[in-house]
Amino acid sequence: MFNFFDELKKKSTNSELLSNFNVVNMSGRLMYVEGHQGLTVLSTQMIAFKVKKGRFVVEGEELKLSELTENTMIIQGKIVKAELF
Amino acid sequence: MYKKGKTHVQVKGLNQERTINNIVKKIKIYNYNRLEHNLCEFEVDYKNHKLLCKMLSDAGLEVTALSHFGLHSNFKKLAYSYGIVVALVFCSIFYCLQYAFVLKINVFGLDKKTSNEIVNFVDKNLNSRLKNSIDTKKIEVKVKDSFEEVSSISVAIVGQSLIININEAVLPDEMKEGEPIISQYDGIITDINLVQGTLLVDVGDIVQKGDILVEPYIIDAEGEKRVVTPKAEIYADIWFSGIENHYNHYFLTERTGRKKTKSEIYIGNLLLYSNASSQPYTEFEIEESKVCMTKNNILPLYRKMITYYETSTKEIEEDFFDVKEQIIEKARKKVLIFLHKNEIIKEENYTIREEDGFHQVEVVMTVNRNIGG
Repeated sequence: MFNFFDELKKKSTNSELLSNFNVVNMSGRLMYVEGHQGLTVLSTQMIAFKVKKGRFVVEGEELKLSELTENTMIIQGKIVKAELF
Repeated sequence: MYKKGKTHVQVKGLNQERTINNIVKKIKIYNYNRLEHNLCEFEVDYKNHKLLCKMLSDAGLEVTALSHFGLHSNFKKLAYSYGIVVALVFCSIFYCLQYAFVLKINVFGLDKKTSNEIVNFVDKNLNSRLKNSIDTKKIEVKVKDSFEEVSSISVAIVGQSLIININEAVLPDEMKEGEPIISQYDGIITDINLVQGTLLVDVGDIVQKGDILVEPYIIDAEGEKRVVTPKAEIYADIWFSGIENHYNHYFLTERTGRKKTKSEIYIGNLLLYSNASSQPYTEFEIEESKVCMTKNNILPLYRKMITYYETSTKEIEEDFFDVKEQIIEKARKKVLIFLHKNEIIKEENYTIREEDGFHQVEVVMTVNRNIGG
């Protein structure tokens, strides 16, 4: 089956990419996250979650999780900033 | 509406992130929304709501609101609505039971009177209204044997109706039951040509209007009475008379030809306008007509037209013998009205009755006519 992230990873020579998390930000209104390792902060202004070797923070307004599973999530709302620590 | 049922949960408690992380390991969460720092709401699949409640309870979080929506949960809700379920079951049982019975009998192909007779007959002969116990073949035979009007019949159970289709038998005239032949006029019978039926009169008999001439039956060779349609040509001399009166001295009022018209407008019965002046003539006749001027009842406007015709009265002195022929002709015309076109007048005479200043002419005509109807 075609996987968007797998196809991108094939183009890259960096092997670290293969075992890391993936984030897609669509127009600043929707964010798809794959490979998270648990939520740390959940509020309408900020959603933070653990990823491999770090922590990812999404800031914005009226944020909410439209879908949440063990390792994927879809964040909806006005996304202002996305940072990896 | 969601095909799969969903459960909407509102959760109160601190440190929700850790619990959510534990929950998502087993349950998928939708539309998570943080309302306050210690209050959030989200949705899970309906099938997982019990597990979710247990996990939230174990984590020490309080479920403040729980509601289900979607097709699945609606069905489950319906299943627990015992009143509706009992009503549905009861209705289904009632429907199934009553469907086994015939409720209506319909007859097609005959006039209403005979149809009703057949419906009553079939109704009486049905042992039971239960569909299984109704033998349509038997009904067909019984109806055909009992009703002469029935030529062919088919009986079928359609839904909850017993449908009886009938082809009406066309009986020849000779076999039809008929009404007796009754005299239409007063007269003396001159000739009889009986085709069918029992004759009650003879040549030379005087009959009156309404007398029975031929009865609708015959007595056969075995002495039994058989009903038939009576048929006969019965000729009789019948007479018609016309009377005309004449006075030697009388007053004759005639219109002079002058007239005047007056209009009045009414609303309902209330007079609104009138152009009437005083009576225009000393001697007159009046004609009135009232016309509605609107086509609705909101404004009932009427126009009344009154026409005054001037008349004059003359005193006439006229000797009967001067106008005798005209008077006889007038009386004659009164008789001719009753005669058929080109009918032969067998006999015609007139009588004149005379009193003081008064004459009455009576014309009597005799014709020979078939009075058998």
